[in-house]
Amino acid sequence: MNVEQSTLPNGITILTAPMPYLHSVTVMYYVRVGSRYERATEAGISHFIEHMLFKGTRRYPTARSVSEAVENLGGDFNGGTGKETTDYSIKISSDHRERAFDVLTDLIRAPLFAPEEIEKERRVIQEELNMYKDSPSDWVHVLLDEILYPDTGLGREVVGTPASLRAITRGQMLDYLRAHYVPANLVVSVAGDVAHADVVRDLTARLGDLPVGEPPAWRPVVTPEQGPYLNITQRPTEQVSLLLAVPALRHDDPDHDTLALLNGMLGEGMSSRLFQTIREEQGLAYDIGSSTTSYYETGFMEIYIGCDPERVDAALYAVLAELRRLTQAPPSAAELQRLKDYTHGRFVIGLEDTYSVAGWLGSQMTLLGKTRTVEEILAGIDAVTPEGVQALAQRLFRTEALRLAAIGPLPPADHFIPMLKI
Amino acid sequence: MTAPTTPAPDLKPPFYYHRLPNGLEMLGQQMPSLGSAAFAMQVGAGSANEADEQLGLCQLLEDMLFQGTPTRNPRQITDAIELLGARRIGGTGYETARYGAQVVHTRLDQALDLWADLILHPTFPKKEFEQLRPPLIQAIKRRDDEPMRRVGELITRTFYQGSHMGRSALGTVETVSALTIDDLKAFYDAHYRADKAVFVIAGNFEWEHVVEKVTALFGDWATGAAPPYSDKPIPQATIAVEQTPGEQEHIYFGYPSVAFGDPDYYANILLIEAFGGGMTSRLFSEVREKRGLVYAVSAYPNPSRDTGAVFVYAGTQPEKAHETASVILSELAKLGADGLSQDELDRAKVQVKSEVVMGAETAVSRVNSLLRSWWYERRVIPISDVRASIDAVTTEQLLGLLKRFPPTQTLTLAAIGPTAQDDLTRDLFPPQG
Repeated sequence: MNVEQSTLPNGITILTAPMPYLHSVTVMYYVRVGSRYERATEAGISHFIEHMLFKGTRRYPTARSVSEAVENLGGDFNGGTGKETTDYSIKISSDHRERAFDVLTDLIRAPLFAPEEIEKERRVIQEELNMYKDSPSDWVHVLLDEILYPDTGLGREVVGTPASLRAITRGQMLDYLRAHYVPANLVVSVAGDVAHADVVRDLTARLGDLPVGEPPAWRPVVTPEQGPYLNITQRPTEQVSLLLAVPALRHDDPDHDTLALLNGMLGEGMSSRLFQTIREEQGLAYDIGSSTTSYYETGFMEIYIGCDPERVDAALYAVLAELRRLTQAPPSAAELQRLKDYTHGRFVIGLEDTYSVAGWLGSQMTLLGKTRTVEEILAGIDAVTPEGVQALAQRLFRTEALRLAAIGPLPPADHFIPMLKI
Repeated sequence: MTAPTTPAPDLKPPFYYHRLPNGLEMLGQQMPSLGSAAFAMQVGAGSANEADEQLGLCQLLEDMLFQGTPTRNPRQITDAIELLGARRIGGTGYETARYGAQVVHTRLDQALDLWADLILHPTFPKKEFEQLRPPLIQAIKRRDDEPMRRVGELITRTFYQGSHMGRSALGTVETVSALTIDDLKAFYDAHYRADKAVFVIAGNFEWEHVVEKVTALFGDWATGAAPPYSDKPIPQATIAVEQTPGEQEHIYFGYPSVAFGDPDYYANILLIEAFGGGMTSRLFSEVREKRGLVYAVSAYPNPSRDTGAVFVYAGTQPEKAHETASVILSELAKLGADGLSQDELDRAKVQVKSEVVMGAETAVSRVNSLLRSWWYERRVIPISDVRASIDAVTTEQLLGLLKRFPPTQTLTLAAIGPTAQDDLTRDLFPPQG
């Protein structure tokens, strides 16, 4: 895959990954904005704006005309808001590429924010929040964020709170949009049956005159050394949802390839240590696995456990024992090699469709300011050593770093405090 | 040996067909631009074939096939899969179960060796069987903790009551607790046979080589599979409301509709796309965009062998549950009376054709489509034929379809959430005169 990159004079970054054997193209507009840039009183404004951009623009004045502009040509729309990025994408047959640029450009340049549409969308977003609340396995992530990054944008649910959702005004949204949707914050990533020169031409015509602005900086979050370490919500569910977490790596940490393998070894896939011991050997939990999240200045690794209420203690002890084991001895060369092969295979298979490729490139550029080639990533993975994995485990898995969030019929937090030891 | 009764289909590259002497059928679609190949063996037995007291058996059986062969213990199996970097294709359905993988094309032979061993030589170790049971019971309980999933179960159970289709494929805590390893072995022996199986491959491969490889691996697979289970559920108009605490009222409607292979199959897909598919659909527009009642609302077709349904889902705040249900009902009535405008039909055609084409770009999606069309219709349907069938649908055909399957005539309602049944349904269903 030969990825090409250009920067327009106003600062917009453009990436193209030609995949000429496919019929489709995915165009993604990434914006460096998300809930971490929000004050508590405007929590959810990044996500609210993402919803509102679909509700009407100068060229496509109603929600219906926005979606028709894409769906009438068989295109598929997506939008997403995270803590650090917001993305808008269209997957469409490659002969309609220009329509994708037209619509996405109008979304970010000329949204209407019609007052009556804002009021309706407020209720829609409230329902989105209610939907997450009804799902314990989703909501437990909100509980974890609250103790990892208390009282900060990283610690709040992206959708906002009922109070902040009621309070956000049209004026606030317009100000926020103007401040953050500036060229220096924009990355356009395109993958599919398309040539880079055509993409640059199309985007210069549509975005080349967007005035340069000064994007607001993100405020660094300090992960608290002192608690709270636990966030337990009582709910009369049949099963318990738990997240055990430790602070991990920021985006630009040089140890990311090691982290990928450490996480793979611990809790990704059915060969992982957690799956094998907790589910296969001991039958303590049905859902078990781990994943990692990174931000500009911090990050965390989480272990998800879904189990019977009476098995919570045993499952938690068993997970902690696996974390401890990783700090005590390096993995065997064979185990690490198996994981490297697995990571290679999955990585290559994962990059066969335009949406995955555009997202993979766009998110790297938005968060790191650069992209690594497939070869560089695979070489980085190959260079990881067993000792490196152990050293990283020792750096991450420390008693004072442990955090626990849980939903279910559970004992009070005091019960768990003495258990949380590496 | 069961003699195959149907003639081989007349296929041209990139499609291929082959039948082994033992009845095992093979289908292939080459996609030479891809770096991977995806394959799956589909056996003709799923939750439909379970006895009432054995619900959940197929779920356990699917996992059981990965628990041991004469030459591999469970750990070696998972390690071998991950060493191949294979992405598993699997799943137990109503009539079938699938076992397969997507791998980088250079690892195809090794993957076929492994999967043949898993499918043909499971050893059913007792210790591993006992370890599989608690996770399945937990999966059942976990589903019950998520009202959005539980209501999906409730509509199926209510809509297809009295038929095997109305039973829970996961089983219940009671049935799963009662299953024995001998139940699984007996089911495997009865159903896992060459003459009810289909092997499909898509992506980057050489057909001659795959035929040779599959013949060597599966050529001795025994025949004599038990006959398929068939029943045709007769849906009744029913209301099922479970009042439970929560943030949202989760509402489902269902009405009878076309089966796989029905002449109106594509007409129905277009009808429901325009009614509740994307962001331009009637439901999205009326329920979400105009009234702000929901975040999630959609309609989708649910075809099966001899019958089918259209299901509609919406999640809303309890105070708006009645209004939401009422808007959906009046949209269903409007659809039944007038069908779609030419403009709506034309837009649905573009959307569905585009989904078909873009969805066909990955090897895994092709394996799944080939298996489905072969199993239910014994056809390989090239994308060009799908497009032509979609283009041929007219607004008159839609009216005919709506006459055959009127959306409000045999309507089932299922709901889970804080709303009492009377508050939800009060004036929704006036007594029929």
